Amino acid sequence: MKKYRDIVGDGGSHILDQVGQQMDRLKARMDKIRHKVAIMSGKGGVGKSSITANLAILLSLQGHSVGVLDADINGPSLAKMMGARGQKLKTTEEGVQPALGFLNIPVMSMDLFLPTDETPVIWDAPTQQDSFTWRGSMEVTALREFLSDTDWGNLDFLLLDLPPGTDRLPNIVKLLPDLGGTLIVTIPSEVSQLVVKKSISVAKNILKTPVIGLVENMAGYVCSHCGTLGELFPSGNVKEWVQSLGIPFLGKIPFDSRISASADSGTPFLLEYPDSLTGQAFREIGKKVKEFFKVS
Amino acid sequence: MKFLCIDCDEPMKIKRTEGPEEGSLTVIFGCPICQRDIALLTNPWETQLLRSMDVKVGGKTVPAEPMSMIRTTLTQKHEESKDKQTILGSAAETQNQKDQEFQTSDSRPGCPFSQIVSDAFAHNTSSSSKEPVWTVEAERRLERIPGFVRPMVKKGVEMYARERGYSEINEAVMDEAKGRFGM
Ligand SMILES: Nc1ncnc2c1ncn2[C@@H]1O[C@H](COP(=O)(O)OP(=O)(O)O)[C@@H](O)[C@H]1O
Ligand SMILES: [Mg+2]
Ligand SMILES: [Zn+2]
Repeated sequence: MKKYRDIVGDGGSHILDQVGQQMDRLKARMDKIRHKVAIMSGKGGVGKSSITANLAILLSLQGHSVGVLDADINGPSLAKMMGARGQKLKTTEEGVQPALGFLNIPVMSMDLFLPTDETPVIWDAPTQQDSFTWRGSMEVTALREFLSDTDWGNLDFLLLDLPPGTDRLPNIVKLLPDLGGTLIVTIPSEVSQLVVKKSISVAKNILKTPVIGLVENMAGYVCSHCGTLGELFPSGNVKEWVQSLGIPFLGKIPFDSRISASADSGTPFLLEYPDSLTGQAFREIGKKVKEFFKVS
Repeated sequence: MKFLCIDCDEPMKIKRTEGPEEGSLTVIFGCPICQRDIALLTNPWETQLLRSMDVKVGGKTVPAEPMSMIRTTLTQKHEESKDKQTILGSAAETQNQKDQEFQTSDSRPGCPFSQIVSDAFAHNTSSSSKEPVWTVEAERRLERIPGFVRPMVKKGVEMYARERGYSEINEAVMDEAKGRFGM
C-alpha cells in the first residue's frame, strides 16, 4: 500500500503551492524595498509609534523614500499619526494603493479598516472564543497581506511599527528574512530595562536578526521656561548599560509634551518643531540609523 | 491530508466541495479507478485553519484579490455564500454555484463591520455591481489558458464585459470577447 510520501500532490488543492505563491508574491514585493526596519519595545505606551512616525518624516525630509507599516494589528495608530486616517484604499493592477500620509508617505495600517479608534479588531470565526484562538494566525496572514499586497513601489526604507513585546518578532522575521534591523525603544525605568533585556536577547540571540540599537524615549524633559533639558527620572548610565548588552545606544528623546500635542492636533512633531532640542534628538537618532545602513 | 483508495492503491482526487455550513466543509474525493467516493467533513477548527491561511480546498482558480483574508474575514458574521467563496476554490465543483453571489465584504444588513471594511476600499472593489463576476465554468476555462497570457486574457474579457455592462462573465461572454479580440 502507498504511503504519504508516495503520493504526489494533495488531491487537487495544491495547498503547498498556494502557500508558496503567497511567499513568492511577498518576496517580489519586498525585493523593491532596500531597508526594512522594525521598531519594537518591551512594553506598550513607550512611544514606539511616535518614533516610527517621526523617523519616517525625518528620513523623508532628508530625501529618502519611506513607507510605514503598522504591524500593530490590534493597536493600530499610524494612519492617525501620519494624517492618513479615513482615507479610502483603492485597488489597481499593482495591488492595494496605500493611504498617503504627511509628505505623501505611504501608510498601511489596520486603522484604515476600522470605523473608530475604539473599534477592536475581530476576525470572523465560528464562535467568539475561536476568534481569540485564531487571532495569532489571522494576524500573520493580515501582516503578510499588508506587506505583499500593498503597492509600496520602490522604497529606500520601510518602517514597521511592531506590537509591544517580543512575541511577534519571530513572525516578522519569518515573513521578512532580509529584515535589515530592529530598533528597540524603551523608557527610563527599571522594569522596562528588564523587559528590554529580553527584547534584545530574543532579537540578537534567538532570532539572530540585526539590532540597530536602543532609543531611550521620554528621558528627561525640555523645560518650558528656559528650553533646556532636565532629568525626569535618574536614569543612571543607560548608555553604558546598553552597550554592555552588546548593542549600540542610539540616543535619548526627552519628554516633550509637544509630541503628544502634535499627535492630537494632527501635525507631526518634526514638521512643526524641526529645530527644537527634541527635533535635534530625533535627527541624531536618524543619523545613526542611516550610518547603520551605510546610507548618506 | 491525502486519501488513498486501498483496493486500487490509487490516490484519490478532489471531486467537489460543499459548504461550509455551520463551520464545516464537505470535501468529496473520488478514486479515479474504481470511482468510489468518500467525503471528508472538516470540523470548525480545520475550516478556520484554511481560512486563516487564506488557502482554498480545491485550489484557487483566479489569482486572489489583494488582501483577501482581511477583506473577507474582518467582520462579525458571514452569510453562507460568502464562506464558500472564501474557502472553497472552484477547481472542484461547488454546490449552489448559481446563486452564489460574488460579493466582497459589502452591505450585509446588521453587520457594521462588513460595511466598514468595504468602505475602506474605494468603489472599484467594494461595489459588487460594477465588477463582472466570473462563473465557475468561465474561470475553469480561463485556467486552461497558458499562464503567461492568462492575465492579459482575463483583463481583456473583464474590460469587454464591463463595457457591455455585463454583470457576469460566463462562457458565452468569453466566446463573444474571443471573437472581438481574435483570441
Ligand atoms: N518623547 C515623548 N514626550 C511626550 N510624549 C510622548 C513622547 N513619546 C510618546 N509620547 C506620547 O506617549 C503616548 C504613547 O506613545 P505611542 O507612540 O503611542 O507609544 P507606543 O506605540 O509605544 O504604544 C502618546 O500619547 C504619545 O503622544
Ligand atoms: Mg503604538
Ligand atoms: Zn479505487
